[in-house]
Amino acid sequence: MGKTITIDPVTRIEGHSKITIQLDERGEVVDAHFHVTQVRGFEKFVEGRPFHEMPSLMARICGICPVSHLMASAKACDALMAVRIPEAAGKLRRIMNLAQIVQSHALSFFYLSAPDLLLGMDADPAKRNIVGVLQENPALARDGIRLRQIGQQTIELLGGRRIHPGWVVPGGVNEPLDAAKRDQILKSIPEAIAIAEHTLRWFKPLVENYREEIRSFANFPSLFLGIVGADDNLTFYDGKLRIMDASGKLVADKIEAKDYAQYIGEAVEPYSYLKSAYYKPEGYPQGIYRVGPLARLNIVDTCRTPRANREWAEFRELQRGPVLSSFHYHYARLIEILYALERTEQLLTDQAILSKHVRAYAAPNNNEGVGVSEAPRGTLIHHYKIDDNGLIVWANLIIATGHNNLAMNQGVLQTAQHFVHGEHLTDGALNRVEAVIRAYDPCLSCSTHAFGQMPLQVQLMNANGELLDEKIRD
Amino acid sequence: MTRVLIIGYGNPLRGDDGFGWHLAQSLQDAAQNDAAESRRNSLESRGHPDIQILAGHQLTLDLAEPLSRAQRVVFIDTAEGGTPGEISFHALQAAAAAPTPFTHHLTPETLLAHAQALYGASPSEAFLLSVGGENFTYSETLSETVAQALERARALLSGLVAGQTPDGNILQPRADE
Repeated sequence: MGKTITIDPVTRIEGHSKITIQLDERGEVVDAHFHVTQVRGFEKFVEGRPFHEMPSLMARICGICPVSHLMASAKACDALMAVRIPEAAGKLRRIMNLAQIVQSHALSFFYLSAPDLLLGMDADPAKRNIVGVLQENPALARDGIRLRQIGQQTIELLGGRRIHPGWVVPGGVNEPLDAAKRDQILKSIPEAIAIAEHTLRWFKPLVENYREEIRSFANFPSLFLGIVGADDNLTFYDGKLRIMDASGKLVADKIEAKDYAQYIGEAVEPYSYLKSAYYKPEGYPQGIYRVGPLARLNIVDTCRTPRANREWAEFRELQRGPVLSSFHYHYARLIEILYALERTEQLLTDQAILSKHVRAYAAPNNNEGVGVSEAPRGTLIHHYKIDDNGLIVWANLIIATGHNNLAMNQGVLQTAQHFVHGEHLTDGALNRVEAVIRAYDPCLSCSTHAFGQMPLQVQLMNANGELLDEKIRD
Repeated sequence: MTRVLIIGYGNPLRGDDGFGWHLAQSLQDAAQNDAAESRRNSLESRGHPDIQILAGHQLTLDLAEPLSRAQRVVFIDTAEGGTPGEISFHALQAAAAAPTPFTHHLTPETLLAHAQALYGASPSEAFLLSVGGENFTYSETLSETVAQALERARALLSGLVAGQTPDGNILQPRADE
């Protein structure tokens, strides 16, 4: 009989989860799973609520990416109302969404992953945390704090607060932007761009130290999904769905948001509360795909903004065709930060950004509405059905991390097979199994923001219940 | 002019845990409001120090930067296990930045150390003002006992801002650095 290694909880991610690794009689990894150990229930308890409450309700799903839910939800409500929101409102929503990208990606890179990237996967666990980063490279820590702060301050200026802001409503936004706030945001952009660029300059050579991780961190052929803009460019707020295979061939393109269900299905597994999304034409589980920064930079034809576009072109040289290793999510995240800042600057310097016309008003005109946008972690879908009184009767959310669930599970298996052997556990091996999950920057809930190390005990038992090996972090 | 930072923190959805948050919010509102009745909520400052007031749910790393610019800081929170409504006050020292598993468990002492490590400066005077909490269940309001402590806490804060500790020590005004 084989043995099972459990990593519980997974550290330095957003939310609660555990990993189990199954060994065969020879001590080799035969299977591994990523288990999400929490249930949220939003899809159920919104039933009966007026549809116009949905953006505000849905933002409460998460404390890191509430803006993403505001966007997708508001767009679904726009569809229920059958309105085209004013042009300025679209631009303003984009600015808040881009600020979300900046602060969330900064959190992921600097706070959650930098301990591994700076100190090494095998570094002393006592130091492989944010305090270690502070001590080893205080400039890097300052940059991360500042970049996240700039993103959060932009959100606060627009929406009144950093976490669970308001302002984005069905039909547009509830207040135009004034010149003072516009100038305040613009003033922060050059500093933020400088931070993004010199972080890229620091990070790119560092990648040479992670050849083994690049080869083994969920490095496999898969489909990639995301939305692309009108010119097939990188976009986060609005566009059509595109699905690309591992060779770079488009398998589906220009899919309207309302038609997502023809291409995307969801399956439930008994070992996790997180549903697994899959590409329907290929079935489950063969229809595995990835979303998020790596997928977005693979599927677009251009980044549109000059600095990000140069970095993106260099990024695409990593591999002929789409970049396949999930380790490169970290790299892609930095490029997206740069794009988000440049694009914000472009939008704010548009004269129309100060327009007073920022909201369309209508009663419900459709009984079904779908909103799709790109959250930091990937494509986010909000799908609502309402009755004739405008009350929600059904809601389905496909969260970015759900799209990636199959890929994360495959990544855990691949990484475990490469780094975990026999009956003895090494801290570095366990950290790498966790690190592949961190590369995806999953958002499992807002229950915890633990990073560094949590108290963790991993025991390896044989079939007789005898302890073979044990690792404890306290 | 002494640069003073006031940080009130706690969860306003957990009853008395939100005392620091509520107090800081009321001070922020008063600072922005010219209404006569709100002057009772404002901080009287004989020395006209430069005051920054921050309200938050917990102590986070991004507070290190404003800490590094302050010369005097007062943290306000709620203590569990003490006498409800009783206000305690003591001076703080920066603690060595030990590895910590939780960002939500940064202490005032650790945050002071992070400010020094990251920005090369931290307040030379640091204080913690705590109120004993009574009710920590899900609630958006303070218990009556703790709510009554708001006015006393405000008066203590006014004294600290003006340069006097609750036990009567005079804090020397700091020259601009």
